Amino acid sequence: MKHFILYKLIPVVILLFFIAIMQSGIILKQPFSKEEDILFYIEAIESNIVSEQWDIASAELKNLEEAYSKVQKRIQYSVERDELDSFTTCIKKTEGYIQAHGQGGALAELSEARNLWEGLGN
Amino acid sequence: MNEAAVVAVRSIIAFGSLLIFARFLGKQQVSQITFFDYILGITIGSIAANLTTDLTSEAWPHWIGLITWTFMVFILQVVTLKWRKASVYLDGEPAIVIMNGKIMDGVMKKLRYRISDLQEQLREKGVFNLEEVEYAIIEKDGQISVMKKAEYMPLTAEAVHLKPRYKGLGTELIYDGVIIENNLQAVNHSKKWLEEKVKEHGYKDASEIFLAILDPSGAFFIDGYRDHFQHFTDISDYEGLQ
Repeated sequence: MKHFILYKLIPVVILLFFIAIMQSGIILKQPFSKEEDILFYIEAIESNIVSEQWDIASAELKNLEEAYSKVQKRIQYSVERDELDSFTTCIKKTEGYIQAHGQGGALAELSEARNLWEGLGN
Repeated sequence: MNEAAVVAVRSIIAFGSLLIFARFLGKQQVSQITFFDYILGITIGSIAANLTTDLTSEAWPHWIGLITWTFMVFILQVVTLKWRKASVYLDGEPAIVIMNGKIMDGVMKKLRYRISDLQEQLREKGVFNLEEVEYAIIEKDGQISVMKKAEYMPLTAEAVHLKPRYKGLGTELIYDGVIIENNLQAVNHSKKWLEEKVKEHGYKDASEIFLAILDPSGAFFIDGYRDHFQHFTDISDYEGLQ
């Protein structure tokens, strides 16, 4: 029994724990509260940009950034650094387009951000 | 992204996985390492290193690579263990490079093995004159095994009809100041007997002993923490250590 626990059970449990960490991204990127709902904020920003409500879009973008900084902390162990960097770049570019009231550019960046987010951890 | 934290977590994953996989593969990797095993070891180590520091990709594909390579090594071990022909085909076989004192130059050419390599490996085995060698065999792991001619063999007890006392393996009774009671019971001696032995050698008790070993012939080896040297041989050429 002791042999089984030491040489079979413990290594298997450790490996399963490692697998859980490496595969946790897909679960941990889901919002734990409404304030962490990345996709909700992206949609809200898009609809405000389409209706040219730039101030509300800018405020929603701030919410998106805050939500992203919370979620990023827990998914960083299981996703690619480049994908996180690309997502950050998209947010920053969108911020610039909103300031310049550039509808096409902002929507393009948000579309890319959504695509990146959906692919994260998959 | 906190890169240091991510690298730390990935390091733990790589280290733990590698440790478990190495234990799973057993000791063959170290003790009978062939050239191919050596490459396999390097590849697995390299994948683990990438898992740790290559943050441009997820840890998961690297880990899958690690487990796949480990599994393939395991399959290779099983196959070579079960089928001798597969073992010869995959691992190669030993080659005789000196037979009856004659160098097998054809075999050496086939192995791309130079005479300087042969001489070097023989020297490592303590053979400085080719004349002394009856047989030399290159093993699968690249090591050389040598059988000297009878006249160059060292004199053995058997040759002079001597019957040396049986030595066997020694049993550790004290290590680092602590009596190993299991071993003491195994050699059928009491703690009191051990304490007397320790006193016989000029020590107060077990706490003053670094190592004490008893061999089956009854010989008792003891080494204390106090080493009384009048002249200490220093092989260092660095003055700062003096």
